[in-house]
Order: sequence, then structure tokens, then C-alpha cells
Amino acid sequence: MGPSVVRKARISAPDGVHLRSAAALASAVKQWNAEVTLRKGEQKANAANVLEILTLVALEGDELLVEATGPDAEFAAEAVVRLIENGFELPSEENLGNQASQ
Amino acid sequence: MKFSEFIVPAAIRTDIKAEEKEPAIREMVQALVEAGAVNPENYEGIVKAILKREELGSTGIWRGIAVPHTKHPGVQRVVGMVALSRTGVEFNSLDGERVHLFFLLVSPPDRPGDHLRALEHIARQLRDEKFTRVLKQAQTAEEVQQLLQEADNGQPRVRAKV
Repeated sequence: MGPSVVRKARISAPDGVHLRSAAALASAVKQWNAEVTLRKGEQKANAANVLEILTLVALEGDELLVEATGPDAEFAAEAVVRLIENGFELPSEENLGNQASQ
Repeated sequence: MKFSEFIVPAAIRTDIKAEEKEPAIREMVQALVEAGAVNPENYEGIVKAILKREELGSTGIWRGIAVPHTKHPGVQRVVGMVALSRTGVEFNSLDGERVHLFFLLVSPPDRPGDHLRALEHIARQLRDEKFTRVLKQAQTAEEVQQLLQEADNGQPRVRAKV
């Protein structure tokens, strides 16, 4: 078992952790040799599993605990924290509906 | 948020005919229009918005299941429908599988939390393999509705271990 890393990250994305951001998190985690768990209060989710991440209902402003174990724990935790704090670095879905309906 | 709070029973479809992404989405949004959950004048805008969202990454994420969705100002609350395809729909899924089970959602733009709570309920139930297997086999809208109700109520038939 490699090192254990625990980091905190606050959700900055206005839409919270939706399907696309959960998918981005899971694919980031899978790039590393590490097990990453996300905790929100009492709830926890395997960060490599999109469905589990969605069950957290992580909204803007929520604080998540990022726990990583394994040889790449540091890198995996850093990648996850960066994604969460940078709003998942995804193009915005904002106003898709408005634009399409015009 | 339980299925009964966002799935429109009259929009449930158990045999959509389309085998490609766009016509399948059109069929599903049309079902919401026919059920009176979406104003016909918003039909085209919602279809296009869902297709745009799909361009950002397929929502076909899990074992023949997809969750196409969008925000649209034409709805006041989250509205959704369930659709089954017997032949499967080519949906550019992450795992390459054709999609046989859809949960389509349209959410008001100003309530991201509600969208996440609907997604949470779907995700939680989809983790139960027996639920998804039985749901995919449902033959009528009434059967689908009953399974959703049982999932909402946490009844043993759909929550039992496989």
C-alpha cells in the first residue's frame, strides 16, 4: 500500500458535479495507479465510478474530502483537487437551451 | 428526488423505433410534448440543446444506458421520461454498446441542484443491476411505472441482490 493522501476541495462550478464533470473526474482518476475516494459529509464515493460520484449531489460551494491511496496517490489527489477547484475545465453548458431555441 | 417527482408517466415509451441518436432524441422529446410536459413550440429548441450537449460528450455512460439531458427555460421544473429500445440505439456510448434504456431529462436553467438530485436518484438506482435488467425487460409503460415506483419506495423486488 502506497502513501495515503487527504486533501480538501471546494466545488467552484456553478452547476455542481453533473454527469460530464463526474465523467471527467473518473477518467482523471483512472490515469493514475491510485484508489481515490470522495467524501461529502457522511457520504462517500469511489472517484473512478461516475454513478457513485453522482450520488453525492455535490453542489457549488460544497467541500469534498479527497482521499487517495496507492503508488500515485499524490498525483491522483492533486489531479482531482485541481479539476474540482477549476470547475472541471469543461466548456460551459450555460445557455445551450437558450441558444438552441433562438 | 424520486422518479415520481420528475418522470412523466404519460411520456414513458417501451419501444422506440429510431436506431440513431438524433431521431431517437426526437422521438423521446416528442413523447414529452404528447404528454403535455413540454410546450410544442419548445420541441425543436430542446432537441437541438440535447444534441449540442451530446456533442460535448455522450451521455451513454453505463451498460446500454444513457441519460440525455439539457437545461431549457421552457420548463418550470425537472421533467423526464423513460424510453426502451428493443434493437438498441447507436449513441456513441463510452463503452461502445448500443443503448437500450434511456432516462431523458429537461431541467430549468436556474435550478442546477434539482437536476443533480434527479441525476442522483437515477445513478443510485442504476447501480442495482437487477433493477436495470428488469427495467430493460419491461413490456408496457405500466410495468415501467410500477418498477420506478418500487424503486422509489425501496421495495425488495427491485432492490434485492442478484
